[in-house]
Amino acid sequence: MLLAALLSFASCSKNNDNAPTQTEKIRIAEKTSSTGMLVTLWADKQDLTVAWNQLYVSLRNSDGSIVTNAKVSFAPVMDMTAMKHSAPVEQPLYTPDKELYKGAVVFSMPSGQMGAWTLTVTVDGEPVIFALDIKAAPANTKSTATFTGSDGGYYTVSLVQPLTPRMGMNDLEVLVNRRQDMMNFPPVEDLAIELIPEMPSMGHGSPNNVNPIHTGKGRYRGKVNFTMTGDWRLHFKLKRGNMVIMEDAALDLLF
Amino acid sequence: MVICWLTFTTISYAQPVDSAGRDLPSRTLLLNEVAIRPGRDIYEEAKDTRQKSLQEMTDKILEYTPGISMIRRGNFAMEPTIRSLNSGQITMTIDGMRVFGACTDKMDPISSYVEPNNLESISVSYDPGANTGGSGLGGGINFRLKEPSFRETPKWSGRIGTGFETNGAAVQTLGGLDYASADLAFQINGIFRRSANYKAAGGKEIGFSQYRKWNGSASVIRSLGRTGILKASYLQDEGHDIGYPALTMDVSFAKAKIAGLSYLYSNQQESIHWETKAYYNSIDHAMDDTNRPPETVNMHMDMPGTSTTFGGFSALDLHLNDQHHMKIKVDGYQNKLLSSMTMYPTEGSPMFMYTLAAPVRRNMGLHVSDVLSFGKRTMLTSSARLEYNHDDVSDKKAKEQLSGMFPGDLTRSNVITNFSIALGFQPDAHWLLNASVARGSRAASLQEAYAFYIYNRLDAYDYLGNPALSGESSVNFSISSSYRNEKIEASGNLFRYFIQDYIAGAILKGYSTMTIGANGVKQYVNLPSAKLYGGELAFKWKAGGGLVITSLNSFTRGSDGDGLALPLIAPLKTVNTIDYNLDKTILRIEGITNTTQKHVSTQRYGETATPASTILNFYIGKEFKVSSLQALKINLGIDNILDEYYFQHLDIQKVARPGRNLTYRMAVLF
Repeated sequence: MLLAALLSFASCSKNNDNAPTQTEKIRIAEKTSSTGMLVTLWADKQDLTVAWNQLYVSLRNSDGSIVTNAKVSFAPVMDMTAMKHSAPVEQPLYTPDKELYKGAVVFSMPSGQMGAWTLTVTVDGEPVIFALDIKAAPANTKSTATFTGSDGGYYTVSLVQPLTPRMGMNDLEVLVNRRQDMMNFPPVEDLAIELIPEMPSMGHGSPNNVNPIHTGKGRYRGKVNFTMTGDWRLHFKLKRGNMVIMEDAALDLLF
Repeated sequence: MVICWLTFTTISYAQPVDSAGRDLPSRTLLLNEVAIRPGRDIYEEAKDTRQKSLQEMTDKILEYTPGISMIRRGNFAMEPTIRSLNSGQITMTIDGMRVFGACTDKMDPISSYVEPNNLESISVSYDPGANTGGSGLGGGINFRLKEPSFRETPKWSGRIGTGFETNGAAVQTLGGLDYASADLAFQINGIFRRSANYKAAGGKEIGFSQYRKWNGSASVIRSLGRTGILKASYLQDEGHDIGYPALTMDVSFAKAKIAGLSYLYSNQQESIHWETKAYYNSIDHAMDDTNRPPETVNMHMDMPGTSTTFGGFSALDLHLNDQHHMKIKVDGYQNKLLSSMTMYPTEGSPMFMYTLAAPVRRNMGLHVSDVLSFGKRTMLTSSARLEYNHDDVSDKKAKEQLSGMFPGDLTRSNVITNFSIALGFQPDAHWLLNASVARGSRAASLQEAYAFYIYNRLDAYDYLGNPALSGESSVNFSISSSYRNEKIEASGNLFRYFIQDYIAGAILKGYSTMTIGANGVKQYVNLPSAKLYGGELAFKWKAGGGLVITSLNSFTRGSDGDGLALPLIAPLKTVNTIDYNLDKTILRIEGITNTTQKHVSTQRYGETATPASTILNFYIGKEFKVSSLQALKINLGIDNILDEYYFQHLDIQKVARPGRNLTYRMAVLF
């Protein structure tokens, strides 16, 4: 597949529209739609995992020109034989400087014995189905977790930033979704979140963290201070008004 | 042991003795300077001390100096303090070279890298204005390394020595070789010493107090004819497997490499002396908890640390005339520290953090002093030092780690001024009087500015640095007088220091500790004020018939602006000695007493009281002339004859000092 990618690069015309401008994107899958449009799925890393994954779509007409104004949507589905379910999604939007449609999917479980993941990318009403291999999170990490809240709701908290944590102050961003039904997981926009980081093997936290606040579409931004490398557990307390929805939603990081 | 005296003025610089007939250290212009010479006898009668002190650790020599107390963390490497001012508050230099320890727990003060075998003399200055070593509140200590000297007819000489101590089964071997000719001379020396755990009184073994080290140094001088002398020196000191009973970890190695190159020039009349020197040193230090029983080690950790310094100075000594003597010095250095901790939990991934995240200090100074003599009796010495200090964090990853604790720019700059005025008056041949006022000032040390959860064993708190810390400054008043006649010599000092912006730790609420078991987290802050006062009294009586009686006494008392006792202040200490000299034999009996230290603050500084202690030591030394060899010297001693169980106030964790110890030293000089 890499060879095919190289050949397609080599054969491209001087109109360099077939490669995304950010060449560090990794091609995940590619298909041609029934209308002859080449739909390519890109990501920032080789493996898609049980986490919030940034996904990009590039669209090329059969003549090679880029499609900049299509309506693109994601529909991830986990087929577990007995039943199917979807996952939290951030629908793609076109980003002109990258010439890509940028969106995200939180895959809540790995591919395997339990079932298989597909991602249906619908372009102007035309669906293209990709079969995806979702890997388990690396050991000692947990970037997305689901909880049953005190209101009976089924919540997902996923880490958006930092994806490459550093020592010291990091921007922290999480995405919170709620299950509406098996196929819809809309973002939750009305929570107050308290962040308490901890090193489980030391039992200590860190000072100067900033609780994430809602910035739109279920995204909450704050700051986390990592005083050293190692295993970190981020404890999130989710509240709606005065009601505590979730006392301790914990995600694990290792760097 | 070693006998020292206090000199106050240098009236006639060109001669090697002052007008009262006292030997003066050459090429120094410091007022209130004390010179201790392990290798040279200060008083003609006490020749044996050279022998014993060649093998005695530098720490012991310093302990006998008035005003100097040693903070002890184990059997090895004690940290000197001058009138209980320590660390960044005083300077410590080796031949004028700035050297900084690498260990965050201060297990490696630079005195630990110097052996009496390397030493020519140790000079202590109590005056921050006159101290050419650098800026500080209380002066500084300069370790002068042994220097070869030229000789008309070429000659080889040397020494070999061995020693043994019953307490800890300590052994040492040393050797040295000197060559001197008219235009080239060098000296090389080396020592190896080793000790097992020592025993306190009653045979109680103090675990983790072993050590093993070797040390070697070499220096070469080459005459360039009329244009001067070129001198190169190198010292390497390596300690391995060093135990620290007062701490939860030991030292797996402490290595120092210290090199210097100087150009010296003196004019024909000896009225101008000029030294220009460039130097480099690097210290590599690693702490080690693998020898401790696993149940005492909460979590295994690696704690390496390094300190590298390079610098230079140019010092000009001008004896313009008998009334006027000036000294000008420019100096500069750069010191980089790096220390980190990697922790290995039983479950989970290793955790890494910097404890000193690559801070770097760049420093430049100008020092001027002038000694004005009025007539034969009066001398006025004025000194001033202007220094520019710039600190920064030099590594990107280190900056990132600190970004979570210290917002904003981490660079610091200070301009520091020190000055002093001292008046010396010699009413007659017997008396010498001196009064001085000084202003001392120092920037906060790199550790005080940038520490990252460094555990302080004294109060069991983790300490955070404070990049916004102001430096400390003090106004020092002191008066001294000395009297001397054929039989008696007596001298006394009194001092009072008023300190502003005293640096201490203040509790940070809501911060979780890094060290398991720590009481909490403190950050360095400036307290508005602190006071220090005290004095030293030395007395010597040549009773006749070869009998000499000496008494050295020191006292310090310190409190902060709230009246709470400052930490690590030594109580009244008195060292009383009776020497009996007969021909080539010397006998000595001495008693060292420390009174109780009850002036402590447990609540603020974590200190507790210390009981009084007295120990008795006895030594006998004899010199033999053996045909082809120059001399054979043998020394026998008993330390702590009565096997007293004791510890001193500055012994961290109050670990007991050694019990009875029989010592044997032998050296052959050829």
